[in-house]
Amino acid sequence: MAHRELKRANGHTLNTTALVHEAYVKISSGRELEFSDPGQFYLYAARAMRHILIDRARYRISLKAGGAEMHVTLNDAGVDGVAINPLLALHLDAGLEALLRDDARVARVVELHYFAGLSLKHVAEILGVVRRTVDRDWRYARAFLLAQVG
Amino acid sequence: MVAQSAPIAFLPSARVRRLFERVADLPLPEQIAALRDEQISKAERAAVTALLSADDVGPALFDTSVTDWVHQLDGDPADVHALIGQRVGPYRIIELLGQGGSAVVFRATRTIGDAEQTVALKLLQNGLFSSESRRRFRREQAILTHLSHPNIARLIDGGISDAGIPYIAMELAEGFKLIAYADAHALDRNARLRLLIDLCRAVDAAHRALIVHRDLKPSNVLVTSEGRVKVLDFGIAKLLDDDEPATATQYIALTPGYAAPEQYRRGSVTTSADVYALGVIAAELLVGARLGPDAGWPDTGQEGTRAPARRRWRELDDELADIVRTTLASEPERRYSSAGHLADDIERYLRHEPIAVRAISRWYRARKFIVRHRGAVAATTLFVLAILVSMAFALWQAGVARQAAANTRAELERANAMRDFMFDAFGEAEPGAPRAAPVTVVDAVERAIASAQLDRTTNPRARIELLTRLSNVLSSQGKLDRARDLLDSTLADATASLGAGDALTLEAARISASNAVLRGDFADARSRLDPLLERVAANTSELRIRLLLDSATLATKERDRDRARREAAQAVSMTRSNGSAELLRVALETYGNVLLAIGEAADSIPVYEETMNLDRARFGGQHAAIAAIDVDLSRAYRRTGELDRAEASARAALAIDRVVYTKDDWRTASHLNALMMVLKERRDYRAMLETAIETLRIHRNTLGEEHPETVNSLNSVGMSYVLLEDYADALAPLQESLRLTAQKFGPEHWESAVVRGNYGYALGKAGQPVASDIELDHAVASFAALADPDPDGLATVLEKRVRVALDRGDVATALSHIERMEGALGQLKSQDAYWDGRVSTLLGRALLDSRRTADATRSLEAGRAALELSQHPDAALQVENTLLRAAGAQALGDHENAGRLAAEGRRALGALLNPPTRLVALASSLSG
Repeated sequence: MAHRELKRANGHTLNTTALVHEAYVKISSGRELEFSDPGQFYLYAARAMRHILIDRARYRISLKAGGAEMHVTLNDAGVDGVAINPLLALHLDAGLEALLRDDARVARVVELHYFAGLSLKHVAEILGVVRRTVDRDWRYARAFLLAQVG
Repeated sequence: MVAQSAPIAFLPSARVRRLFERVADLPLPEQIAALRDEQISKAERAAVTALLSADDVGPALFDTSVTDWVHQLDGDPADVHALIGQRVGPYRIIELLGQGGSAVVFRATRTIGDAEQTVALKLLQNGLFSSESRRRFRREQAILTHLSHPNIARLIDGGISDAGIPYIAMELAEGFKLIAYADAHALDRNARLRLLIDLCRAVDAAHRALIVHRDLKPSNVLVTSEGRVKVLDFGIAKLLDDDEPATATQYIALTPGYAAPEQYRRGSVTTSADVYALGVIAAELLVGARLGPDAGWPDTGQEGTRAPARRRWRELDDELADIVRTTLASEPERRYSSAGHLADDIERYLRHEPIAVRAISRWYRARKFIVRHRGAVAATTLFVLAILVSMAFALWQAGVARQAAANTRAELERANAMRDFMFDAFGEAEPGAPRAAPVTVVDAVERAIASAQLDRTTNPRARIELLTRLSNVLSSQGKLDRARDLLDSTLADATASLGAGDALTLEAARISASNAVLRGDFADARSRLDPLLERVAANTSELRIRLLLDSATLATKERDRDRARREAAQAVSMTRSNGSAELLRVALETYGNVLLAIGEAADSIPVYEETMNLDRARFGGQHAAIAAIDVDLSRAYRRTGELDRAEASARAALAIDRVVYTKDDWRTASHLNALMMVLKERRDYRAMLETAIETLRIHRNTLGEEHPETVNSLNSVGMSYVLLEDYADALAPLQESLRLTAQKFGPEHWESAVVRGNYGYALGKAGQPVASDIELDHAVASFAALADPDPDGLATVLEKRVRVALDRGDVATALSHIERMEGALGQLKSQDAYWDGRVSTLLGRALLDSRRTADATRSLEAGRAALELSQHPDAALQVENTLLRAAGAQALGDHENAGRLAAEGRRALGALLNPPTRLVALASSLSG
């Protein structure tokens, strides 16, 4: 991680501040920032991150689709070994949509925990359920989503 | 949320989840045994198995935080370098110039013929995936390509690669970034202000082209080694806007610190946001720090480093601080209304003149006033919207009609493309979208034209139809020359891409002929119309009907009465047998106009009344079309002598105008002209003059100085003065009107002869006999030489010559010209009591003046009889006749009759508004 942080500091990639800003604008664009409760705010933040991830993934996939015209390798990005195929993001998103339709709370757990970066304890507080329920939801959701992208 | 979504391996279900949770913590053999249950379907078993194996793999994917994942997808420098040497579109990538959050910029080249062009090639990080966003990208890009300014890096080209990656090729500008340049050259304050002025002027020029930068900041402003400012990335932010409503995002279009407060709040970005960004840049140039809204200091937690900047801000001249504060106002309406005004104020400051910030605060108060008096302002916006909505609606209807008729995919696509296009092009006029300046219809239309002409991806049929319709809007806004240019280029486009015989080509050709009529260029109009009529000779379609109507209208202008009546009547009967109700409305109104123009007023009234009924059914009461028919009726009633109805109709039209138009419109001028003609008949010359002056003002504003209508209203102003017997004031407008008419139509043209007659008469009355004789004789000669004789016009100008001669006692000239009048009137097909009464009375006056009293009395008596027979007698002429008979009786010593006639004449004279001075003098010269 430190290695990557260093590269970012050199200004080659979008920095985290800009990313947060980007998410902020995604949330706020076209509407006044009025949230009835903190949970709603985090949900918006999570949705914004989903958008950003999907936008990036589609872009990378389009680079790949360029074939001979655009030699961009997709799985060599992580110098420190983490390489995630951008298609995963699309599968993940589709899986999340399916979860949302089946059981909205499970999808919320994923959004708040993974996309908004909240602890499972915090997620339980926001959703007003006991911690054990959130743990179970997370385990199931994680398995379901990984099964989709696997 | 996902437009392009991935397939799902299996759907989630509560039952599968329960099975998964029941077995998840069991050892593997027990799991397998548990899943062998008969109750579990094959699919459920597969799903649970997939969940179990995923659960076993553990949280590898979710160990990577989403922000890390995004960073990773953002790409590694290695990826970017791999692009060097590759081709994108026609460009070969040479080297990396820079990389930002939204784009990577390369130096790239392409070969055009023998030359190699070097550009800054920008590859956008976010692909455009919907067809709508691609279409929009191409359109915006095409508009930007036309933005050309020495201080703006030009957009050369743009496109979407086969892989869906949008790219933009821009002029490669090399230099320092703005602040770095100013610091590196140790520029003093005035030099920095001059750079700022250049920047403002460039931004203002783009704003005039309705292009907003949206992301102005010092890194987007370069200064070349020659010291020239170059603004980069103009309009690029909008190019990247994802406008799918469900996922509308603007994250690229904004840089914190430079974005105006309203950019955080609302979707729409205006020129005012650019002005705000200029304020941030100004502060950075002048005090070395970025200031926030209302020139406040943003809270960055680095107070210590700001001390020098704060000191410079405190030491800044009050005027400059006011300029910066105004530019950075948090409310857009308190900012400079344009970058140009900001530049003006900086220039005033440099010249040590008072700055306009005070005026701005007055403007702000005015805005408050407008808010308080919202009605009138809203009406403007509503009018713009009404036009746009009606156009969009018409296009939609056209689409539905075509779909029903043809039901072909291509036709439907075309209709839909046009509808989308209109909504897009006019989206900016939406009143909810705040802008620095209101969008006018013409602005919106020009924008739409630019888009349509450039967007080669649109179906050519849609493009040509759209451009033809837009030219109509331009004509209706009085932009006749611009409409002609657009029509000519559209016609060439249509002929090339559709062929000369295509319906759309023919329609464009027809519209361009109508445009020529509107411009007053009748020869041009005829040369366009006749070949068209020939081409569709055998046809009974709507096109032929419309061509016949156009040709009939043109024939009235050409004074070809028979052709006018014949063609208009033919068009109406063709429409009655196989035209639509809409077309019938148009055909009837045109027929009425033709009848009126050729002097058949009584015949025109029932035609107009039928039109009015159709219009009311179609549009309701308050509509421009109703106003137009009201005015037609006003003219017809006036010609038949029904002045009360004529005035009421004209005023009804003007009342509708006041509701429908909120600024000067040439149609209002034409309605005022109708009212003016009624006022003239009523002899209310003071009101006539006022109406004529207002008409002239509107014509000048809307049609220009040299338009035939403007020239005609100039003539009306002159004639109003003549009727008020203010001959000195009449001369200038009449002379100018004559000059412009002669220039437009030629000195011997009928129009010139009419105006020349008026001018000559005013000269005579103003005591310039020599000039008067020359002009009146010239006018008489012009009428006599007309290929299409106009006995009425000739008699009218001869009467003027006679009256001027009589005024100065030249009885011989008067008598000889009366003889010519009689000769001319002998050519009239129908003998009219009007002229008999006039000529007899004139002759009576001349004979009285030459002491041939008995002959005079006979002639005057004949005149009286004729005037009584006349359908709408000229009241002043009747009074003149009576008074002259009294004078005759007096000369013959018949005091009884003289006294009676004098009393009768005086009574009638007293009833006249604005009695002519000469008659008042005559009346008072009579004894008794």
